[in-house]
Amino acid sequence: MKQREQEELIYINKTMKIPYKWRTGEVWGEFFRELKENGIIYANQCPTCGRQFCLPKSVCTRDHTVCTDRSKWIPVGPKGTVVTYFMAEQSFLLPTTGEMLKIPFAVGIILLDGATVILQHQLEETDESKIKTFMRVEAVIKPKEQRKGNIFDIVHFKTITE
Amino acid sequence: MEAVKKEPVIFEGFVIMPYKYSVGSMASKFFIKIRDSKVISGAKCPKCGFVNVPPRSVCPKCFSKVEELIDLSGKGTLETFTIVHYESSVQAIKPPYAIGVIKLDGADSGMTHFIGEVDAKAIKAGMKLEPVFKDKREAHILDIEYFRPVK
Repeated sequence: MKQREQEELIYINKTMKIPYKWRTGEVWGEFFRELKENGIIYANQCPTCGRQFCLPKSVCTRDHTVCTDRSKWIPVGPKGTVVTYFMAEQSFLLPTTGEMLKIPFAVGIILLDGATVILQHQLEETDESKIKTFMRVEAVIKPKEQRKGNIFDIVHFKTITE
Repeated sequence: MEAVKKEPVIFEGFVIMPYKYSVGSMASKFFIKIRDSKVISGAKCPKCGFVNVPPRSVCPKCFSKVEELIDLSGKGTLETFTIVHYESSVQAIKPPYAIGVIKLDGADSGMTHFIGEVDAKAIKAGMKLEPVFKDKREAHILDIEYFRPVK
């Protein structure tokens, strides 16, 4: 069997940065506008079944009623209850920053006070032993000058005692 | 009933994609010759004689296995070109720039590269070109900075 000679092989290493623009639509646009300008988290209400969605929906998932009536928007939170949570144990490359996810990373499924449908976001607490279902949390929102009008304007939810 | 405002909120973001790919055995030899000797080479098919630049290990005409690299002078003829004005983050250099297909003397296929040291209006298909190499080379296609008209 002919032995392959040691040959120098060339590799191309590159990082591509692909910009994108995403139009949020009317309902999320309004939610993020209120979050950016006033620092308030809003939920919208379905006129048929009365459920309050946070993040707001343009069409109710149960009865398909259109929910764009602005007068039916109510502020919720910033406090809420952790219904359940999960921990990310394996780090991976975050496409938006190009950095590896810092683990341990906790994601809480949170019911904000006044909402009927849950919101999913990062919890400040990273020690799993300190996270309990039904614990109370509060949204930590960036100061106005740092807000950009995206979900990261809510930095995370910190544990509170009450 | 006042509906939510119709003005959209637009998220601007970017996705970062790091990647690494191996160019293969034939292309490695091609880039090493450019880096070490400033020589552009082509792959010559043993069966049909088709010379492919940049070189590939399978002949695009008759699909035979190709292992031989032959040195070329580097000079060639401009087959076709375009001037790029549109800017994108995935480009190698900033526009405006001229990019074209150059058929090197001794090759049967064209290679794509930039055309420099010439006014955009003066570029014509059929021009004779020669390569300009960078002083610091890394075994990359951009070790050839561009092709310029032969004086």
